[in-house]
Amino acid sequence: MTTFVQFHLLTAYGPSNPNRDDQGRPKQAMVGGSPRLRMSSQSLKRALRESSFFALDLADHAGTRTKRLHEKLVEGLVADGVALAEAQKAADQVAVIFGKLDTPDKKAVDAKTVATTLAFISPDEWALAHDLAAKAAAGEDLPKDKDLKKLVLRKADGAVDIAMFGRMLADDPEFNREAAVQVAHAITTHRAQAEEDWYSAVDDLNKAEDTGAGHLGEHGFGSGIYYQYICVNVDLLTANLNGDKALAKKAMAALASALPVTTPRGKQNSHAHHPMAYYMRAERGPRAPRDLSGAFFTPVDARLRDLGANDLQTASIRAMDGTVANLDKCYHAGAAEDYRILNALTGEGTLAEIVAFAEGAVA
Amino acid sequence: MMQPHLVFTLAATMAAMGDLAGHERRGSLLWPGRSAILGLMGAALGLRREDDFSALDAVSIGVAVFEQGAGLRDYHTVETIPTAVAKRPNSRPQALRADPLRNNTTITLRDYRVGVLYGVAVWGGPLETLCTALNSPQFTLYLGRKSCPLSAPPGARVVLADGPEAALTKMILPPWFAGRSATRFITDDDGTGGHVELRHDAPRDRQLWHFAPRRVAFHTVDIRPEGGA
Repeated sequence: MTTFVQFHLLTAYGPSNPNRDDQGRPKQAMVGGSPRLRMSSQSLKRALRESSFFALDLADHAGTRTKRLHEKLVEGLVADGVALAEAQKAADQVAVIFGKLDTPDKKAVDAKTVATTLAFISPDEWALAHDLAAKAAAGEDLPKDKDLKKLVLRKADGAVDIAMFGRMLADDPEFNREAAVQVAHAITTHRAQAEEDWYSAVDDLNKAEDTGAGHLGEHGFGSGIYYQYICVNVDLLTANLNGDKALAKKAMAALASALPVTTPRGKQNSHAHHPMAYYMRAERGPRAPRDLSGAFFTPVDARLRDLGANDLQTASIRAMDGTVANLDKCYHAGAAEDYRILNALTGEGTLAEIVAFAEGAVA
Repeated sequence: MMQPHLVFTLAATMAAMGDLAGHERRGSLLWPGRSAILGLMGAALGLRREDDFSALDAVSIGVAVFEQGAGLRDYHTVETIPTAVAKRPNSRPQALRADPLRNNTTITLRDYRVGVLYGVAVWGGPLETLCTALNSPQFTLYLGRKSCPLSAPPGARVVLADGPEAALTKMILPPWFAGRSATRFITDDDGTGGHVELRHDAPRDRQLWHFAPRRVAFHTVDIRPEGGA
């Protein structure tokens, strides 16, 4: 049975244009017969991949591509107190696992042994290679050829972003990855349309009178509360990471932390939009995933009285919570799936709880 | 004749049901075709793209259209880097930065249907297994593209009924579509009438992407699901 983690976020954007269509306006959609602003799945995924959580928290889990494993192994062994000649002999045996080694030029001063080709070496493999070299230097006999390779080589697969968002390599299908994370297009919970800003710019050096503007332009923008949905197939994520559960946990934590504070960066310097989600619902369990966009099929601005709210933020939360309850009633005999809430309007719940909850889905 | 049918709901705020595709344009049908439903059931069962789907070839499928949604064309840019430039990259940003001058950016146009609702009836196959799988699937279910999540659970159930149309009155409608009825029912042509069209979507070889023609019948119906659970 598969475990899914679903994230539902409500985020208020002021005037901004984070994801543009071919005319340069914010992307839009007609949902339930009403116009909405939209951000594409693609733009949201890119924003996540480029977020600092992925860059920093997962930095240790990016492999390195190098020809210099031999040199690094020797350095490591010498630092551990192994004599240089011994260290080189040990490194010769281990580094060859990743590819043929060039014979160093005997005449050159301080020549290093390097591999003939670049090898992709994951963090795990670095550590294993070092351990093996240390054993060899200590006089242990290493297994031969294939058995030796099996000890060190992993399907180089620590790349978390590829495990999450997938990859299609037409030339190399063996390295395709089915995305474990599904990201929907985000839409506004209420009616919203792109607006036009007509602007002019003056030429600072032209001080003559009656010259008018040096430039005229138009620029689209929009504002609204976006509903964003993300679904993680936790089992597939772990499988894509070669069953590395510790790394899968780290990936879940990075994703849960990045989601409420990450935004596509279109026109960010013109609008300085840095929104944070004001409401976030995380759910986990084996049920068939469903998003909660049905809550906003009729825009909430048309249902304010029905939802007992005076503002769009509260109305969006109530519409979402109401839909969860109704779907559970219609499809699951009223039983809710395990969930956590963060509500920045009322100060309820914390992101730390949601992060821990998401990590906990990796069993 | 009463026989078991598996019925389930397919609702999505955005859906894409692949029509004939070429280059940068990807159109969408107004309803999910047979291959779309088979793919969805395969995902529920945990079949991978390269796995054997032939066990599902025996099932008969009918789709009732409750809401075909409004069209939406998305403009989308794609950036690719030749694999020769970035072999086995750790991450996509790393691949794209390997040689920015050799990146290719192209525009694609992709069609979606917004706010769709379909009822699916399946008969003549391992219905109980499919029912369980749809309600707690192995892989994430979606309507056409990965960015198109379902907006209601499939709510799959097996019912005894005198034909798929009668079976579909037992499906569950999502709350915001309560009271909807379907006027079109699309299924394989079995000679019982309706408007018949030819579509080239019966898989012959999934690896080679070979498809054979299939006769599809469109029936005018009035299917009114009885309501909730």
